[in-house]
Amino acid sequence: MRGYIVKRLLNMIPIMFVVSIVIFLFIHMIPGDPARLLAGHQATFEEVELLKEQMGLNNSYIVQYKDFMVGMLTGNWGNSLKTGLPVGDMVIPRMKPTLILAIFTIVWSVISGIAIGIISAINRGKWIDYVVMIGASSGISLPLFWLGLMLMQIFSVQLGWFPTTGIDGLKSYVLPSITLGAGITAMIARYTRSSMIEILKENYIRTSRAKGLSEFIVVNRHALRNSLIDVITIVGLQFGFLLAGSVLVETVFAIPGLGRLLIDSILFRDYTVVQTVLLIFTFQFLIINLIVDVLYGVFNPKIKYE
Amino acid sequence: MSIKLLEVKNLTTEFKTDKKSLTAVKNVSFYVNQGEVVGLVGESGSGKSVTSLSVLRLLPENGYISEGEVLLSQNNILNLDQKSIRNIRGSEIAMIFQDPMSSLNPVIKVGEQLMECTMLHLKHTKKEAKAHAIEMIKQVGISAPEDVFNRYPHQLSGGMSQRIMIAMALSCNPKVLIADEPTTALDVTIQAQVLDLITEMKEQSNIGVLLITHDLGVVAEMCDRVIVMYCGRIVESAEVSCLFENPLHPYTQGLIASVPKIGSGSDILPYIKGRVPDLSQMPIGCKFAPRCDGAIEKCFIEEPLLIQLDNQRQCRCHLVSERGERNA
Repeated sequence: MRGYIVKRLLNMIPIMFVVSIVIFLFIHMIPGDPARLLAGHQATFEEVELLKEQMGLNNSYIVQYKDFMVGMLTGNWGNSLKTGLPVGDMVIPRMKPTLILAIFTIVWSVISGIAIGIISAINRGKWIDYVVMIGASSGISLPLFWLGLMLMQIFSVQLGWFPTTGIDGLKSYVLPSITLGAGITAMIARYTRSSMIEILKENYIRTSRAKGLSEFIVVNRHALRNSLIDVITIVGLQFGFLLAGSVLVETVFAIPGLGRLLIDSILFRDYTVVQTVLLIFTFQFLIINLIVDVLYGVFNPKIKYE
Repeated sequence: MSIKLLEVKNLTTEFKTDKKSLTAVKNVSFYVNQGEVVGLVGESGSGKSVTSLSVLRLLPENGYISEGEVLLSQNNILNLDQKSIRNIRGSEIAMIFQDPMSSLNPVIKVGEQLMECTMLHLKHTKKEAKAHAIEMIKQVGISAPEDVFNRYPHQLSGGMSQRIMIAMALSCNPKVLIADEPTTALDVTIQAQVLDLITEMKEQSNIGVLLITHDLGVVAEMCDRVIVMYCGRIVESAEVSCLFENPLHPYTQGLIASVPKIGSGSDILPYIKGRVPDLSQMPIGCKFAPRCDGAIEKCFIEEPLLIQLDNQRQCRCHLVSERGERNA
């Protein structure tokens, strides 16, 4: 198992390398010029050119990419084109809110998604199943920003239970986390439900009933452990979605996280910051994938990692 | 001399479908004595498995028992609430199934699956349950029981899985064992071993066994009495030697004739023509009439009754009853 994890971590190096090329090319393909944005509308052509020269933007792409990679590998992430501050100083404080939001969301949405799926599966065809599944379908289809604004309107503006925007203690994460997790919960609930319905028809479920086990143990011990193997796949995929979602949610709730930083930096064509944030997102995604794969081995005894 | 452990009286089981209810088992009555193996024989779709699942009320969701009684030591277990029936499952009546590989939970260690049973019914502690589970694995003839205890089902062969199923079924000393085609999914050599094991365990603990099978060879080897089912009805029941020497019902005759015999000199395997009718399109009269060579007009109009011929013998056939009347 340890060998497998080390191997997977080593595999990330070429992946990160390829991704870094893609990121670099995409950013430079977006029209717009950070030097022009920094200098302002009144600046003359010569002033902009000078600025470009200072920023190293007149170098060939190959030289720019080389500088970017060398910087990354040596820990010198460069300075923001916009503020001139070291990128590390800008990015690292932004990681905490994003991380708290992600972990909050992962925990509650996985637990509630699986619970809802089970309740729905064992009450299949009854009114509770219909109610829950209509809820889940809406959860999947609701646009994040709309849900966020609605929650904010009801719970922050009218009831005053939570702060509207910004970060002020853990309380501030409740509404953003609900907004971000709603779709994930709904998706996990639907997968758990269909997987449970199939598994409850299996022969070994009949065996466990024939042993005299209570329905609670049959469902939560015998069926759930099998259905988690299916559910974990979708959980992994959903967390890719979580990264994209955090960009939207952080914008709606004005949370100073990585997502907001990314949006602001893209708008300003702040190449150095954008590249770093995107690489962090990529790394995060790869790590989540690795965790999912390791969990497969934990839940499914047929899988052994060498 | 013999104690009736399990008695099924007038059992009728139906399945709800979109349009109407289909009767899978109709008016089935039989009993199993202590130390006896009773065979339940018939083609696929004859209602054998539904009968056995009805006994433990393990029918699929759309199935229900519309009539009848299942008496375990004189108590009707069909009237029990869910909790009480669960106390009987596994402890008084245990069951083993057709496909042992899929009947064990793939993500739980074999040993833990064995422990569950005794922890539940015999109130064993974890330690006791483990010791008992290893003892049971040993009893069903598996060497290195500690090793097997820690394995997952996919690390076992089919024969081993069925042994584990038997160990599991017998771990709480049930009075009755229902074996639903226990050897169908196994290799021939393994089949014999598993059957021997069931016989051995039966003699050791003097339980009653209801053996469901479509294999007449198994019946001849294992059973004391046989019940032949067709289309959810009992068509004949008899002591095993009587049945093979002198099968009365044309269906039983057909079944026995279809067993391949070495050295019979014939290249053509005898078989029963036609197919088991669909549950939704049952013939009006005798359910076997369309496939029966000797069918007379009456067979197509009126369903024959199950006639008690002598102490151990019943038959449901107009031809047999009329012959009997003529002789009398």
